Amino acid sequence: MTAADSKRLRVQPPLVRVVLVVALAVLFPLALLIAWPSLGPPSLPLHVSPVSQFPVAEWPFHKQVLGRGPQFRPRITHVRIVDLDQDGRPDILASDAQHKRVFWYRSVGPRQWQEIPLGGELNVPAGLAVVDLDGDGDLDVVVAVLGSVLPADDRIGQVVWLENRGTEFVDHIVLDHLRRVSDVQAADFNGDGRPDLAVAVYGYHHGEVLWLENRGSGRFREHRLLATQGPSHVPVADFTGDGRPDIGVLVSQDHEEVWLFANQGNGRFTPRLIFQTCNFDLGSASLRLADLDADGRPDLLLCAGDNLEINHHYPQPWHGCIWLRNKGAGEFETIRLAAVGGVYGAAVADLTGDGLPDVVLCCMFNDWRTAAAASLVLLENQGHQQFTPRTLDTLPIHLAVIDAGDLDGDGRADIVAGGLHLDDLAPQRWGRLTLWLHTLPRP
Amino acid sequence: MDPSQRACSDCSHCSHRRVWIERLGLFVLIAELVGVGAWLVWQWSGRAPPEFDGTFVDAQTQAELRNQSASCRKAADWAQLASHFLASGYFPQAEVCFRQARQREPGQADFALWHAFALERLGEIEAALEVYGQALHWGHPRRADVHYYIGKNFLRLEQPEAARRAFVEADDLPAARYELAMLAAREGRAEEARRLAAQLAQEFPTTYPPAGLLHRLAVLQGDAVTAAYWADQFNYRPRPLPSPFDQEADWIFRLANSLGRDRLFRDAGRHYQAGEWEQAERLLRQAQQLVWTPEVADRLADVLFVQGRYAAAAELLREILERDGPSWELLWRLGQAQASLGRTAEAGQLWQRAQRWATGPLAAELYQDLSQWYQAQGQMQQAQWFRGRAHLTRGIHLLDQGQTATALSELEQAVRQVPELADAWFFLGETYRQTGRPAEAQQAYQQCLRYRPHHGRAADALKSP
Repeated sequence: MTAADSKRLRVQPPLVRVVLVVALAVLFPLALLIAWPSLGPPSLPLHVSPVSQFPVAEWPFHKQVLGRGPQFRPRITHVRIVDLDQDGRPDILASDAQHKRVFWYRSVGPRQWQEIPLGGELNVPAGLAVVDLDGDGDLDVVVAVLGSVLPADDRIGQVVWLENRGTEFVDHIVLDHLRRVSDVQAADFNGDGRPDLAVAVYGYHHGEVLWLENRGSGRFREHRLLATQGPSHVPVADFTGDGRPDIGVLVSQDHEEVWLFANQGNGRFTPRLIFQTCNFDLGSASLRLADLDADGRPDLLLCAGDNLEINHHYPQPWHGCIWLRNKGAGEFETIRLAAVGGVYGAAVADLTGDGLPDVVLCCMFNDWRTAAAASLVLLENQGHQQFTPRTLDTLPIHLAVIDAGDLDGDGRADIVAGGLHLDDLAPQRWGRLTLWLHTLPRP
Repeated sequence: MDPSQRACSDCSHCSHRRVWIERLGLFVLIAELVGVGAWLVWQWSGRAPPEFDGTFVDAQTQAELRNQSASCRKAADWAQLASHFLASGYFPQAEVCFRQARQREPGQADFALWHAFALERLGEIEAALEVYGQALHWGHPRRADVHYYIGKNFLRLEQPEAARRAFVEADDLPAARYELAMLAAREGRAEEARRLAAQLAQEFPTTYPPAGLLHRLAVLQGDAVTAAYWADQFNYRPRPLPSPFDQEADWIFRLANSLGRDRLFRDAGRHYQAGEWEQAERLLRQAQQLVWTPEVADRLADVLFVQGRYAAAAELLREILERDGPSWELLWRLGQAQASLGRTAEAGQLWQRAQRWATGPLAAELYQDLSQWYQAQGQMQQAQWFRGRAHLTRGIHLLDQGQTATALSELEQAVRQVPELADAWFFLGETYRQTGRPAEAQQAYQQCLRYRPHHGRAADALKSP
């Protein structure tokens, strides 16, 4: 053995060490492969809408589908609780833009409704007025025919009277060749004993507000009150306290204002602006009649949540519900109740059973790409004009219309809402007509 | 040789090999550590594109967005990904991607404009204002448009004075001038509002917004005559004022149509327009495989129809009716398919059902088909009625589009066919009035009232000067 060999023998690496190094060189890539998914850089933080989610409400309910289930893209444009056959049991009327009918859900027993189509097919029915239009003692239905739920400026709208003849409802076209008609309400404006009609012709670029003077025998004479883009709702009530019904008008489409047409009698109206904002993007979606402070003067609830400028929507921080509180003599003050994303409709009822009227909101354009975004929100009345938002439900989404009332005779208010789905994705979250029936009986 | 010595000589080979194996192993391990370390540093010096829930778009669009996400490196990559997120409705994702693009190329004024636009979509108005300011700082060529957007954002914040200043900076953009008129009206400066709106109404005689503003000012003042005049102007001016937002809206729609299923639909439409039916059909069927929609099925039925494949077209139309509910347009087209198959009775039934609730300009074609159907049945009165309805419907649409000469021809034919069509007389009167023939207009309104005495618009038109 040479000296070099001896030296080599003295410095040779132990076998264990060699095996360890080789093993590390081989195993390291394998470990890297396993750990790969978690090795990327941190994700960019995304914007979270501050008006999409709220603490959950303590309001137990039984949820039920009303009528046929949601098929492809259900589209309900109006829903209303009303006792149409005057049998003492609340029914539900719904305008179905998908099936092109007005449906009457007639109460036939506890939590049971029979679906009855009223009249014939209509080219996208929307707002409804329930009134005895011909003075024969039964309730008729007057329909605002929209023509299309998508923007269109063509004359595709109508006002149609579904005349109640006891065993059937018969269509009569009251006014034709209008642009899209979104709402119709009834009241005797000229004091002649016959109910007249207020009509919102929403259109798109062009619209108008009309009142139709009832001249009997199904004849109506139209009078124009205002030519403007975007009048969507025309709630009628005696806002000025002079005993004559007035007309409130919500105008959206960049104007974002509420007009009051104060009835002077003999078919004359004095117009006034009772709400306006320079925020052209407010997204006003509906105007609901309600006496929120129970002072005997009709107030208005303005829902703001429309946001579909460029194909897709996102809830805006100014969305929510605004209370136009009637101070008397047609003067109103503006009180912002809550910021809630994508609000399209509101209903008022004492949902919590504390004697104070609460507000329930439905959301059409909330952040649906977040699973916890609220579609039904309770504004719990705390008194002193304070309302706290609570999430009632997150499904179904795209709720456009709502009403509240005691549907099952248990003495507590329930909720019905309709879905308006314009997207064809996320079908598992579609809803057509949904009931939220309060499950606690009144003690 | 001594066995122990022999073993030593063997060990020298072993130790030599062992040393080299260890050195090789160490070299590989160090190379791996250095490589991974460098990669990690490189990765963490950038950012991962944001996650998104792909269930809100079709599978094709989802795949395209993910592919773009995977190859996002340069500022232009981030900007393109951001644009596609924006067009697909992923507004939070679009915003962070535009932010990344701007961080990589802060002097790119376009990136600033688009980032501000994305911030607006999220309702982050203060942030949007700041970024619009950056776009101006970096000399964006659309300077006036950016000032206009700044003004609109101050309106969103309900700061009218700041908005006014921004609109003044927007040079003479008609949309900005209109906003100044609206601000004046809201603040009770009616005379100023009237002056600004009247100038716009004169300079842009086919646009409705300034006419609408002048009308509402008159209504609030109780000036019924002026209100009626401007209501009429509002009604018969078909166009909006040009606005910078038109450019952004077009950009978004173009982007949306460049992705996934929408691209297939767009390209199918182009082939359809060019008469390339097979290519159109192929793309439409691909689109349908991604997700069924009535719009694509409807276009596919069209393509089959023009190729003479009426039975297949009818089957598709029936499927749409079954899955998406009825529309009078679908019933009409199903009737056309049935008629082409020689099933005239079924066609007639479908058309009769459709005409009961059809509205709008397209109904003219349905009425025309019905008129011919009734004529073939020998029911001449009905045929004439629907011919009149067809002329009326076309005439109204042409009048609304400002095409008064052709509207006149259609409406005159309508009243010749069916003299008792009150609405035809009314719109004929409107057309005479629009074309400066007041005496004939008066006669037409009177004819209208003869057939419908309670026709309010005709009565009001007779009363107005």
